[in-house]
Amino acid sequence: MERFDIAVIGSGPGGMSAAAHAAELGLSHVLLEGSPKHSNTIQKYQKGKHVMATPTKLPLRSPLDFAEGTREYILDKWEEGMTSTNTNIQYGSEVTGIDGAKGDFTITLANGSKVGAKSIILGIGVQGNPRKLPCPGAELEHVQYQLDDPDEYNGERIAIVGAGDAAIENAVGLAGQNKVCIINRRDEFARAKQGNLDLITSSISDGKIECFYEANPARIEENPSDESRYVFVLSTPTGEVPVPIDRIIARLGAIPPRKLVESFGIEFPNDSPAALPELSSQYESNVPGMYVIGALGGYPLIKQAMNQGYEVVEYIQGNDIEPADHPLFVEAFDGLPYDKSVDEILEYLQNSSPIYNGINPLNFREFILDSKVSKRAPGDELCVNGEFTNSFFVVIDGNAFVKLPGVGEFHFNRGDFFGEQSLISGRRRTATVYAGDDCVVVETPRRSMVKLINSVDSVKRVLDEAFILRALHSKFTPNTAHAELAEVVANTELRTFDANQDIYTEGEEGDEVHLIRIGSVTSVKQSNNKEVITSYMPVGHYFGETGVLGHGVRTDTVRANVRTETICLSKDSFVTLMDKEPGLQNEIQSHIRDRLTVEARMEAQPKGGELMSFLMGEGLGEGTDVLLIDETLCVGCDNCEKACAETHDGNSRLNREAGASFADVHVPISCRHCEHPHCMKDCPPDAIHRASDGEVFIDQEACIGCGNCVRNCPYDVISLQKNPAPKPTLLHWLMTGKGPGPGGKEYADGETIKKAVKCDACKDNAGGAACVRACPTGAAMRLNPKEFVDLVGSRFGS
Amino acid sequence: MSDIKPDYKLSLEDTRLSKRWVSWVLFIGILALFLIVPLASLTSDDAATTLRNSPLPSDNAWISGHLSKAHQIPDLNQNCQACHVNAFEVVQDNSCLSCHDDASHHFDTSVHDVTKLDGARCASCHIEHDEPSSIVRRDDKLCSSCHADMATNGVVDTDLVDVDSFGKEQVREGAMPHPQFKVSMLVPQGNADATTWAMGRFSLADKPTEKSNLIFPHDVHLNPEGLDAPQGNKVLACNDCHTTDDAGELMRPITMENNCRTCHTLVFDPDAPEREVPHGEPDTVLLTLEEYYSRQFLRDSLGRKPTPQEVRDFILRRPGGAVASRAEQALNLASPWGKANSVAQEIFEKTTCKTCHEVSVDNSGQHLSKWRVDPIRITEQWMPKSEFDHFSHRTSDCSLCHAASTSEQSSDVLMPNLDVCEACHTGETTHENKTPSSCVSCHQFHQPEQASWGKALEFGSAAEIIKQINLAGANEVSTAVSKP
Amino acid sequence: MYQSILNFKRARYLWVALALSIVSIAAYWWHQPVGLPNGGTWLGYTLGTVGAMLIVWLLLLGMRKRSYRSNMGTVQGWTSAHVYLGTALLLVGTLHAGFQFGANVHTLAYVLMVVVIVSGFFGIFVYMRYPNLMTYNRSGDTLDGLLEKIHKVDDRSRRIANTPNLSRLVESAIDGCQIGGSWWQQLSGSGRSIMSVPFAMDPDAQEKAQSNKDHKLVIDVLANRLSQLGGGEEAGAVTSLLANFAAKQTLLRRIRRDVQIRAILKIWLYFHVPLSFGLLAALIAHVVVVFFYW
Repeated sequence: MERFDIAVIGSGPGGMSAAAHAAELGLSHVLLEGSPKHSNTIQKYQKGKHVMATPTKLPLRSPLDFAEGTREYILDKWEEGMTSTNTNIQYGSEVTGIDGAKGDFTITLANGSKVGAKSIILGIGVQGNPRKLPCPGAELEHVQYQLDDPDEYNGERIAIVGAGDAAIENAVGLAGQNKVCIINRRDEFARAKQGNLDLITSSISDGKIECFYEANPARIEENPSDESRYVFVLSTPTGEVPVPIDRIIARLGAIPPRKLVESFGIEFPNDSPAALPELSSQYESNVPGMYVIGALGGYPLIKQAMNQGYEVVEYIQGNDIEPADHPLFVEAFDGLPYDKSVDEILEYLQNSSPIYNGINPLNFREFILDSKVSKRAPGDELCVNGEFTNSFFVVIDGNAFVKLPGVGEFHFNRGDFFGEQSLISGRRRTATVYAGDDCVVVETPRRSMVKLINSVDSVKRVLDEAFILRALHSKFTPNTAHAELAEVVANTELRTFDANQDIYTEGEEGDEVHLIRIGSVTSVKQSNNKEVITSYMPVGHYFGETGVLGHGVRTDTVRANVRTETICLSKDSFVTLMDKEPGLQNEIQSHIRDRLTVEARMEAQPKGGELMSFLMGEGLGEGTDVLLIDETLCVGCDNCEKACAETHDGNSRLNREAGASFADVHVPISCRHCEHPHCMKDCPPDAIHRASDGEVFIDQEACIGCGNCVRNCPYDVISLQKNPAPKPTLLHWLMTGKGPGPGGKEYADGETIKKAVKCDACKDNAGGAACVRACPTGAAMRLNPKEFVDLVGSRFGS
Repeated sequence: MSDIKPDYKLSLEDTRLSKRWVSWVLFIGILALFLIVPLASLTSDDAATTLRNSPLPSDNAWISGHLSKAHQIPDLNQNCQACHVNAFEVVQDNSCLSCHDDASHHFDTSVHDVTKLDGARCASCHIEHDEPSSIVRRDDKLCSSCHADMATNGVVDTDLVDVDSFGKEQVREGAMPHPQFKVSMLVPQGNADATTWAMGRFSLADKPTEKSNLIFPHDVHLNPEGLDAPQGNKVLACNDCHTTDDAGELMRPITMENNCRTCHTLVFDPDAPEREVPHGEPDTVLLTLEEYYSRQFLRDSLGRKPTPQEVRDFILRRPGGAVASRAEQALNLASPWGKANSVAQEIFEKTTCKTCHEVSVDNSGQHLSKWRVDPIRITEQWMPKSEFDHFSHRTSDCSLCHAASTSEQSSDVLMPNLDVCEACHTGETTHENKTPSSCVSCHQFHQPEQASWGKALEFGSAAEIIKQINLAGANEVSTAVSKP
Repeated sequence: MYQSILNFKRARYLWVALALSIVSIAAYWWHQPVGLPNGGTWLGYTLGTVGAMLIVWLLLLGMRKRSYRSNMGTVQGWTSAHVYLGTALLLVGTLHAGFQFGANVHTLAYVLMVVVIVSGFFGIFVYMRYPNLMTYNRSGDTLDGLLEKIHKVDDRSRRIANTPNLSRLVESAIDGCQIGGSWWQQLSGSGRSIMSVPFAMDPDAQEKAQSNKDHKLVIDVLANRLSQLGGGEEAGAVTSLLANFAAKQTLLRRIRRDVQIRAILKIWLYFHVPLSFGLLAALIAHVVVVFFYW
């Protein structure tokens, strides 16, 4: 067994940088890479992808070069750097286990061999490795675990292994020009999205794709007869089936790195999938001698990871060097009224608020770097009522305040925070917050905050308590002091419901009141043995109050449209609230009256309820801005699509004709700007954002074309598109008809880079969405789900 | 689905129909046919003529309406450039004057400084290519645009009063109504021997009287029970005397020979009803009588036809004859002379002449006859500044306009006044079934023979004429014409 | 919520157009020109200028519709105004002409204007009537979806055909089935369907191409064949084929109707737009000529 001073696992930017620095210093080292190439994630970027070197002001500390440029350029530079520093990299060395302790670690590789090391640096990222075929032959040349461009393959016999969305999309994409079979371990495609399910089942029934159900790969053999490259032997319930095959693409998902990392003894603070291991300020984990850098340590940017690689080697050598981001902090803290060093300010910030209590200093450093610390002039608007911004604020010094009509100003002082409502609900700001005197605030973007909430339990707890207190206060008892509500808050719980789950059903007993904080619900009544939707309630609405005021029997069924969280108040709590606020009872009675009117109206129009169910069924309940087309007005001119393409780099983000219709209301394939956008869940470059008016958009510069959002969107509204070539002017086309007309496109030769495109609701156009503005007949309209009731009323109205 | 069968043509865009090239063809085609080719042809006369005679659209296709009838002559009908001389320039007066070289009678700016008409062209009023409207204007505005307020429009030095329109219903607020009619009437000047006639203008509002020297009571003649006429009892109608001219418009002048003599014979001797005195000078009448009675005398005293010697004696009245015979002769001769004189006195002073004429006695002996008859001039056209067509009014009773049956005096002016016309006529647009009548229904546009400046053009400078009128001293006289 | 172009913003442009019409009529009634009312009076020039500007503006809809970044109102607003002001143009143009017409370039422009406007009226009619029909006909499917279904039915038929003759019959029926086609075929909702019947199935036909309009022939031939067969594998196949072609017949009818409705929704533009440009040319000629021979 070979022994090294330092073993680096994972050849991402951080790992490579660490290994190269070790090589530079002449240390005994090894860089272990599971795949045949270094920088796996970046290799997956599209060809020619322009990679930015952010943060630009952060100096690079690495023996390897890194400046912005194409993917190829950067990979070549790294290759050169490793060669020139004589970095000892071992490809195909997948680590499966680590034993031992500091000074004497033993690393076990997938092929069974072992490597010894004194210190270990983990730079394995968060993407995880693709799951390999669990059969002999999994390493053969034409067995691959990803597919970049289906058009690269022609006339081959290809087997796709897997039953998820990726496998289906690959299979369908290849089926046009190749003979494709798909190998499914089960007897159905249970994990796939509906659209993909339709696609694969129809392709199979049409004979375009052959499917082996309940089949497991047994082995891959080289084919001696040369008819095909390999013979793929499958074990099926009826015995082994040999399939002649040229290429095997296995889409079995990735192995999340967490389990592996945990098996090394590293601990995570909680079960959240986004949680990160706790590290010291020198990147050392709870296992002494084992260091974590890069994305797994909470640093997703290339430059940061490379710097950490450099620093961690220095730390292992015992050199307590200043972190590379020091100048960034100096700059970030410029203008703050503190005469302190960077470290002192960081400490001052962290001590300001209980919410920062549980964060380790390293994470806090990163957290502050993501955030914006600034002194704001008195009267500045920190966040604006009605906007869709979702950053989070903590007051460090001075104060900030909201103006409450009839009550006066409410002040946030040192350590207080605000902005959690929009962060949690995905809804508009409910108040405008102004800077007060000497106001210093930390403004943290959603992504960093979500990361923090998921990593540090105490943060979530503090936020939830504050959320409940403030929600109850503003909704029910605006005239009561916060302190008086403490008891009610303590007796209040958060409930979570899955999509389509009944929160309570008609006729059952119950006297709890729910205030929606995430998601939306519909109220359903039985009418003539048919369910009729009688109302739609988004975040901020409450329901169940009739149970408290009445005889305790539910008069309707309330169902979650999407994953929904409510603040659940017991009858006693609710009565307490009513006691505290004399006007509340009247208010609630009038609220009930209003709702009963709407419900009666909806009940009188069962067709309207059906339309409502249809809209909810289409998933519009979680939208904030939905494109609907009136089929009685639509003449099919496709001007909406053309407008979309023309205003968005030539690619339409909407498909008018596709999509479902009911009662002349058509739901085209178009983004509905969900409250909690599915597409934002897993975007490696953090390219998907929400604009202040709620538009969810993709930053085209940042997009790396990985397709995660395409897969994550349940409504198929995102697609990967190439950028078309510039077109002649409109007048030129009108006169000559040459070249692509409005909505048409042509690609420049050699254009291959695809990026994810989706509707941004024309956020940059003052006039609003081009599709609606371009509709000559008024058939296209963008609605907020709250307006669906009006829509139903106008359709079937009295 | 392009990958299934790409050659499906499921949209009109996929067919050979095209909006674009049809648009181009129409656009260029129409522009070429109706603009460019006609324009190009105008560069030479030959090309223009060739194109005009071809079925292709030439500049003739640019015509905006038919030419007026008068202009529909070969020289003009096809040849646009006869009038439209320069491109993008309105038709100039020279184009009109090249044919209408006597067109100066429209107005004379040397007489009146008509600022209103500064810059006016022929075509300002004479709108061509505007069928079916006439190229000659007939609308009130033609007149009223100046005449409604002449001072403002630059006509200061005039006797004309402002008038806006005809018909009391039509007068705009603040504008002047049509003034009461004025009649043009002959007025005798001087004595019976040296009478001249001046044309005077008199407003009917002033109830003018005519002095024609004729004695004629209309009421007597129109006695519904009839008159004793030579042929017996006769009931007279207006048109027994007043007959229209050939056009049926105006009344012929009344003359003794044509209109009176049938009844009013000039018989002087009931025994000789075939004999009449001439309708002429009193001297002639007396001579006629003397001659008649001389002849009568001769025949009665001789009882036979006189011998030539007797006639010679009688006529030569030979001096130196016997006194007795001379006295006898004188006595004999005095008898027919006396008879003639007494008959003359009878017809001049009591009957025949006196019926219609003003007769006076002049004993100065200057004339053969001592009786003088005042000359008669009957005004023939009372309203020469207007046109009136009796024919078109023929269905109306004369008495509707002319109160003749109650007129006892020949001095009565029987012309209808403004109210009479306005009872049936109103301005340009009808009102309560009244007949619409514009200015030019009655008035011609500046008839040169009636306008003061029109005369000036004929006879001399206008200033001179106006001076004459002023000298004549009559306010109402606008025209003084001496008739022989 | 939804408003048709006629009701856009409570028919805002209807009132604009009405106001324009009333002002034009009032001016025309009040105006006493020298001679007859015509384009050469001050009112004539005014109405002419208004009319010409209207025509140019109405034409600009084609540009505005495609100026997708424009914030100058919405296209629906423009279209609504286009409809109402275009209708008012009929009046403005007629009053401008003073009801004087003749065989000349001026009346050509007028006639083109009238034809364009009338074709626009037809457009409004189809825009009001056909979207509904299109929806009902498609009943939730898309044209691509229907074509896909046809394609699948055809594939299935090919697989079912288990004798050479049946295969030839099926192939011929599929090959001879035309969807869409020339503008006339699209508009009439027809599509040429021809096929030849294998000799063994109908010797009289001599394998010549015959009309398979509405897929009657293939269904007849299959039904015939079925009546001849007592049973067996081929009978089963023919039964399935019959069902298949019946399904295809229904699909085809819907597709053709869909294509037809789309064509009707668009065909009027093939008159409206080119004639508009003809009108523009005539308008230019009219204006130049009027001042050329002033």
